[in-house]
Amino acid sequence: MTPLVELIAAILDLLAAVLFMGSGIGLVRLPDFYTRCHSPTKVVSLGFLLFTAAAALRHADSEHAGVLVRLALLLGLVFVTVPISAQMLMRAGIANDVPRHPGTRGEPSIEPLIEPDGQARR
Amino acid sequence: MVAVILSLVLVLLAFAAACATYRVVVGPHVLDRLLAVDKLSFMVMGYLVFELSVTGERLYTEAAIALGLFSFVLTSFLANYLTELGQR
Repeated sequence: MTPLVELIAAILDLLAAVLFMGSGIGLVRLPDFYTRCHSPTKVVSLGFLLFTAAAALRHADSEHAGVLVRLALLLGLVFVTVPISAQMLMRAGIANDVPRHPGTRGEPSIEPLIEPDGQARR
Repeated sequence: MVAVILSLVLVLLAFAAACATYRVVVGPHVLDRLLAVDKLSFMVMGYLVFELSVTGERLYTEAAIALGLFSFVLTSFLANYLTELGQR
């Protein structure tokens, strides 16, 4: 591993850590649940992409290629599960009437989970 | 140079985890705490990937994958439970 590759990987790691720090600040400072839900969700995916890119860059010439396969699997896992869990959390927030910031415009419009005749919707 | 950057990465990740822990403790609603626990587990996963890329220990990837699966199952189960509880 040449020093240049090492430096590039370190800078990618630093960018990813700055993104993670931004997600933490958003988690603390944003005013209501829905904005707090949106901020780390977007940032964590990109931070993970950068961390994984740095790890793949450092281990590109290693003799066991299993690390790269596992890194790709991990990246796919994160990219699939992050939006799904965020959507589930926000839907639970709307269903539980979590208070919104007074500056929010519009009304939440999700389809009701329970039909008028009482049957659960699947 | 590189060593300084790598230590800075650890400091920033610790700061992010401290922010998420603050939201777990203070969060006014249960869903805030659940969201913060979810994001905290993603920060730990990022730390594991970083540790893998620095040390080259391959077990960190398995740990990160298992942690991601567990956190997804926990979050989706609790969010669905709270959704049904709120619709009732």
